[in-house]
Amino acid sequence: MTSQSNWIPVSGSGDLAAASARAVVLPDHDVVIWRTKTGAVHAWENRCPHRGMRMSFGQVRDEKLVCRYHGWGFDEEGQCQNIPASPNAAAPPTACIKTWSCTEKDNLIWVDVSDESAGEGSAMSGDSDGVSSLMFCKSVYTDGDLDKVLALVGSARFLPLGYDGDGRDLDWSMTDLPDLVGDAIQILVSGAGSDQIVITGHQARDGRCGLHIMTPSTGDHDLDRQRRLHYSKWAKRLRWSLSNPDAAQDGFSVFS
Amino acid sequence: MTQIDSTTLNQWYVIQSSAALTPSQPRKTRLLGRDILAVRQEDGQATAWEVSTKGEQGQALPVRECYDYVWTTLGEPDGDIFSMPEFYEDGRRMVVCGIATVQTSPGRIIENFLDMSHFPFVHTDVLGAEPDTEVNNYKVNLRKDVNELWATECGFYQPKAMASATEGIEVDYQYRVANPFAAILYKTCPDRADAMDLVGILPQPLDETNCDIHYFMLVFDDVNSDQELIQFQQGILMQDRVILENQRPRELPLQRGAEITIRADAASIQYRRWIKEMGVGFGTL
Ligand code: FES
Ligand SMILES: [Fe+2]
Repeated sequence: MTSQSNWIPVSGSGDLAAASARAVVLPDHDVVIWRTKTGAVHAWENRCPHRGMRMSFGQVRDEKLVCRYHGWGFDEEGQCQNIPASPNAAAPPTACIKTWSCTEKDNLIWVDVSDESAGEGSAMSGDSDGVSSLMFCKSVYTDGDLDKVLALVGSARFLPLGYDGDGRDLDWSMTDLPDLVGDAIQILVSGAGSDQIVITGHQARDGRCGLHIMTPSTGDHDLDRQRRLHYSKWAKRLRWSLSNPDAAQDGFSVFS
Repeated sequence: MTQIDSTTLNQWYVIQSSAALTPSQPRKTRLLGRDILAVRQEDGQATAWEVSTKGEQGQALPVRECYDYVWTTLGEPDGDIFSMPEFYEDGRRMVVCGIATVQTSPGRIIENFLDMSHFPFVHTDVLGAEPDTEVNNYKVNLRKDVNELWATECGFYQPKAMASATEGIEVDYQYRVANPFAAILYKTCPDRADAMDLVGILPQPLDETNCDIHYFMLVFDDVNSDQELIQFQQGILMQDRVILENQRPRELPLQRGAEITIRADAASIQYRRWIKEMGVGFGTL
């Protein structure tokens, strides 16, 4: 997949539990992503056609997303199937929610909100050459434009699991990884604790963006769990450091 | 902000309860996008004036005290504050519940107040519960002589209709929209078969999408303290607030077809039509 693609990584797969819904804010779209009990993901306009309630406040029931306000239930195609206030009448066919293409790849949830996105959306191409299966660790939200923030993140200190120095004796290199996960960067850390981190993200609104921090799986269950935890903590530190640029002298900042 | 339509401008609005406005507690607030200040003078007189952008005292505003509230207007109302004879009935208690600040338009607030179909989902186990979700047909009519919108013959099964209710009852409702931004609910009184209790909401539009809702109860109730009644009503309003602040757009859409409507929304449909005919542009789309 190229960075010209319309697919936007909006969330880690693990951050959307089965039978749950969540809001995602993109520059020009309010989106609700939700997952059925059996695991399918959907991305819709985050607005109920009845009285405008945000669908992200809804509940997943019988594989329908049920609006919080009056309980209208929308099936996986976005079509309203039941209206509790008039249980014996069929829902009007116009009672449907705009849907967008949504898929999962590399443990991320991807949405295509472009106009061409009706139905299938553009094919999700590209393969994960060079990076074995990526584990999602954590998303963080911060002020700034995605590309500027990603460039800045490239200068952060990376502290691999098991390494207990301050990071200053490690070498790292940053490369763009457009073929893998949208506008992603790959960071290869070498030296005492070599590792690899992949960071991608999406632009939100009001000058904010979301970053998704990932790292390759080792195949060892316990080790992977520890690594996920470790980089989740690092991600929180990254967020703190991004929002406290004046603290760059502070050893806690990943930019010091 | 664009110019305010004359219907909106020429209404009386509550800006504080009479009891809360004391000489030592002026209220600095906003009305229809303008800064105003309400002050109780030492002689007991309630006064209000506009405050300029520089913070200087501007034009004095007309003030009325009525139904335990302080009212003002930025325009020239045709008539008086709407009548509410129940306020003067023997044995009723006026319970001023306070102010709830809600980030939405006054139209969305009134419409939510007129809506029964959300009870089982938003006020679960209090004003409604599944599977009793069906809204039976009710009547909506515009009383031309007084220019008020009424919804009558509304009924709903409620697990805990009022603070004093100990078991579920089939409740009769009537809704009265006394002006575009003032609504009163009449509901079965648990204590007296022949009387109705009143609940009223008087949104003070701070601007098009922000309101301070003044709300009250006017009840026959020998059981609950004011505090208990307030707590009950406050709980309901806080549940509604989650909804109100998450509707998009925040303005009330008045164009036909902007939102999907069913028969249970008859009150909402008529309300939208009515205020559209009156030219209410404030807080609407
Ligand atoms: S607003 Fe969604 S069901 Fe009414
Ligand atoms: Fe409500």
